[in-house]
Amino acid sequence: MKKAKDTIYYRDKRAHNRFHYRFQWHAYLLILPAFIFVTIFVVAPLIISFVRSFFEYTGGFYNFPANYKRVLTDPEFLVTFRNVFIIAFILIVLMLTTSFLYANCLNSLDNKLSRFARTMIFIPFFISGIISSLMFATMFDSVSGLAGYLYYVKGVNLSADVPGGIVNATLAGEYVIGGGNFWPYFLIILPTWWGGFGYQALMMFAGIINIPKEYYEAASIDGANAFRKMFNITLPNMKNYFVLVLVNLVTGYFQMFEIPKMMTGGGPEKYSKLFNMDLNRTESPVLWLYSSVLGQAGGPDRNVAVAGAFLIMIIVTVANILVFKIFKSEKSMDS
Amino acid sequence: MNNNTHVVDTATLLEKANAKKPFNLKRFIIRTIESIFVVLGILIILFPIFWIVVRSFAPNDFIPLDEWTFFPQNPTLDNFKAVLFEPLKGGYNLPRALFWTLIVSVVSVVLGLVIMMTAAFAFARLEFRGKGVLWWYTIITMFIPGIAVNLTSVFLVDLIGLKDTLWVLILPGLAGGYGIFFFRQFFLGLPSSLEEAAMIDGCPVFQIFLKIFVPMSITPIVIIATRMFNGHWNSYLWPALTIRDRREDFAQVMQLLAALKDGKEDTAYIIAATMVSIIIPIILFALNQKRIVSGIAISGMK
Repeated sequence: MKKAKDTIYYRDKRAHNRFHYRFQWHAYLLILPAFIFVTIFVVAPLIISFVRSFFEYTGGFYNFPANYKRVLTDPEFLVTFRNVFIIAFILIVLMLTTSFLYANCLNSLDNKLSRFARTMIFIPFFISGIISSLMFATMFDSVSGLAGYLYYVKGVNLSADVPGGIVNATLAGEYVIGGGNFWPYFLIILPTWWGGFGYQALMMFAGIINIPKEYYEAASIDGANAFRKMFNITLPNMKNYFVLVLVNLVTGYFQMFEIPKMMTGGGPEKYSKLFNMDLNRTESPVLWLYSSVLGQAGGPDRNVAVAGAFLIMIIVTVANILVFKIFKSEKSMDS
Repeated sequence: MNNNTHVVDTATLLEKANAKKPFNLKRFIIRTIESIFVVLGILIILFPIFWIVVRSFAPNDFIPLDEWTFFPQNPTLDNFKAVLFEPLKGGYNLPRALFWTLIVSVVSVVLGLVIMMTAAFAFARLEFRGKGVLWWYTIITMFIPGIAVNLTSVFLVDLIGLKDTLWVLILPGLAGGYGIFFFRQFFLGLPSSLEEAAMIDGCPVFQIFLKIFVPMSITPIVIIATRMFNGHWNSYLWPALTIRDRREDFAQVMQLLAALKDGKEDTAYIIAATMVSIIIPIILFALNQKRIVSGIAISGMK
């Protein structure tokens, strides 16, 4: 290790506050472990995946668009995309509005309650999708869950539009929220919202408190009421924030996996399906892609799955680009 | 006419601070509504946890349906005994899973911090050829979604022979572009005066790192350590993909819980197991809430 007095220092003119040492080989040493891990576990698999998507799984010969075509024409895959679009759309609208409104309240009530709330709502951030799914799943349990309670004790039948309703439930673990087209989505939306709300609300809060108070004071002088202030000051100033949050949400929701897997297992054969509920509506693309690898029936073979993974990557990127274009703002990356 | 200059002096400030606001009905109503909203949020967020805690004490027999009550009539510890001391369906063992998950998480955090901080230090303070390219290389991996990588990583890991060991759970997590980014940002923000003083005194570079940078980095260390620990504790997919034949030995907590649900273990046991598994994340939360919450509020983004 070179001693300080042996090295010639120079001040790097590009960075006024920084103190760069002279070219030293042990910098490479410091970076080496990170570099090795990134290469082995991220870059190499990525490249290999990409190559594999061009080859047949059984037989190993080159067959360019075959895997991609199979994925794009597979009816199960298309259904998962419909599902995830609907779920993501509802979730994003729900999440943005609830977290924004909540953050506004937190900001305007600047008291102990607000500070307490800020820490409490953050708890689900530490809780995994598996656990939150289990919490909600046991709540919806037709016998020992809240749903059972509502029916047997209060006489509220949540599955009134289902023939036979709750009375047919004899095994714990079956859901009794009503059938039809909407309720399966609810099963996915609720735990996902629950898990993300605290974090998003705090993000919004951080954005709101960064808006200079003078804007609000000026508005007060001009006689604006609270709603006006919110719409005409807070929202426009948060535009960049919304974009970043939206990008994160889109990227996250399109790849949701744990919650669909734990709440319903995805499609009809994976968990016993009851009460005319179209559980096919809850399968997400990533869940379908992983299904064969995780030992479930009915998924794609490995190479097709990899092709599907790249398609999802492309779709997520396109969606993010669209989000940028719509909001016309630039993401800043410092490097 | 009013003139627009603000003359601020202490007397005025004190007056303002001590002056009472006139009671304004509209403002009161708004504040009440907002308070209700805030409290509602807290209740909704906390309810599922409350549910799990309460129900874990309910006995496991078939409930006479017209006597269902929210708080169990005969609270019992049997569920916990069953889940902790007796074998679960599928041959799983909860205490063992908790133990190994803890080990994996702690080791990952320690190794990860070492690797990330040293790399971040190099990127922040040292000059070397190819620095820009290497930095982009490290960063770009942050943006690659897991699905593109996981499927093949399983195959690679099998090739290297790591499958079904603990290392397969630890090593991939050390490729942490995000952590390196975070630490580098932090290091860049540290003023160089301390280092200059140390260098003048003849302190070697590595010691500068250890004795100056590391102690000053407690906040990012806590944030990243929590994030990594949480990530490992809550990981389901990767263990499910890679720990296949040695599940009885090394299954991680989430893997176990998912298997319980798949195997249709009794609901009461699932609830008890969930409650036991939630303790450590909650402890993490309790230890970190102030730092992380204020850290996010100040830095603005993750």
